[in-house]
Amino acid sequence: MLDGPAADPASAPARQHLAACPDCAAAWRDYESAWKAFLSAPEVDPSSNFTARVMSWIDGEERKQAARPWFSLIPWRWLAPATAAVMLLVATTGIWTTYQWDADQAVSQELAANLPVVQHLELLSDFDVISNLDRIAPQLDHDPIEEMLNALWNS
Amino acid sequence: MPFDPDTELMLKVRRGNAAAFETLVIKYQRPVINTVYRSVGDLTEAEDLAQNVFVQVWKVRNRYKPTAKFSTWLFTIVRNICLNEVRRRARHPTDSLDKPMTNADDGSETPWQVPDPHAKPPSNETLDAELRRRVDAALSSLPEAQRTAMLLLRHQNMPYEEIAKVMRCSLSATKSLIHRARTLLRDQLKPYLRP
Repeated sequence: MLDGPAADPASAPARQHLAACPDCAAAWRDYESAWKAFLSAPEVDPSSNFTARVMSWIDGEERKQAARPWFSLIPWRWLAPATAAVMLLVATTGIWTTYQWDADQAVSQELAANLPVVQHLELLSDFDVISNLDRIAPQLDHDPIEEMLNALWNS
Repeated sequence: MPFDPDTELMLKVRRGNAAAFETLVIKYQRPVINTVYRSVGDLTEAEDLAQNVFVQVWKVRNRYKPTAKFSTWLFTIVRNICLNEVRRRARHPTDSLDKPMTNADDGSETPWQVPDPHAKPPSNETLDAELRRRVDAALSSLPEAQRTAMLLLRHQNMPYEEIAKVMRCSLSATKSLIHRARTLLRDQLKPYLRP
């Protein structure tokens, strides 16, 4: 009965049942007596200096906190993994950049190999010449700088 | 959520207000110590653990969020500290002189008693004291969750919904815990209850 839908003793079906069933009435009395005994068991008193003890600990902790040197504020526990993560990131970026640089170099070298040879550097100041470099370059058969250096050497 | 003055105090504590903290310690020291005492069974140790509870409250004050009542938050800490203590004891068991003796015939447990040949018939006061001891013994024999739920119900008059939050279980599970605890208490106390 105590587990059933009529468990609330204030309900009408429960009251009717308790009035008619001596076994359930006895069980309910035991249940109630045990509950009352539990509720009436005396409480223990805290010692008179309990609050003072707690507050003194707090004061001590606050004073310790204030007296701590600056480096104790650094979260050492997180610093090592954070440093490791940053180093890993730097290493990964470095490797990737180097790989990219090598690839760029290969492309540059390939492009350079296919570029027309310019022997008359002063011609490069002329926009029309630069635009028509492909056609002009094969027609040039002497290098004015080399000629100038030869002249200097011979003099 | 209705206005809770303790939550207001705890918000002050979060800002470092020691006076507000002291007010909360004064208000809750008794229920906290009693709850811990019924869990560990030793008053000195209960006071140390209760002190630890308040120290924890102060240390983690910045994490307090006024989404629940202060008492719910506080007794969640109380329960965690009690559970840790129970686990610590399970790892490092010690024998106590107060440990109940097991009856070889029926396996029942009774507290250690030395017969007094000059004993007089027990007075009402003595019977009450005996009943109180039996209540404590019955309570300490309950599984941890049932005992904690019962203590919250008794010391704090906590509504079932809040007990469920502290116990981190559903409302129906909480009602079931309390019902089983009450039934066990009744079974254990029945021989000592006056008709």
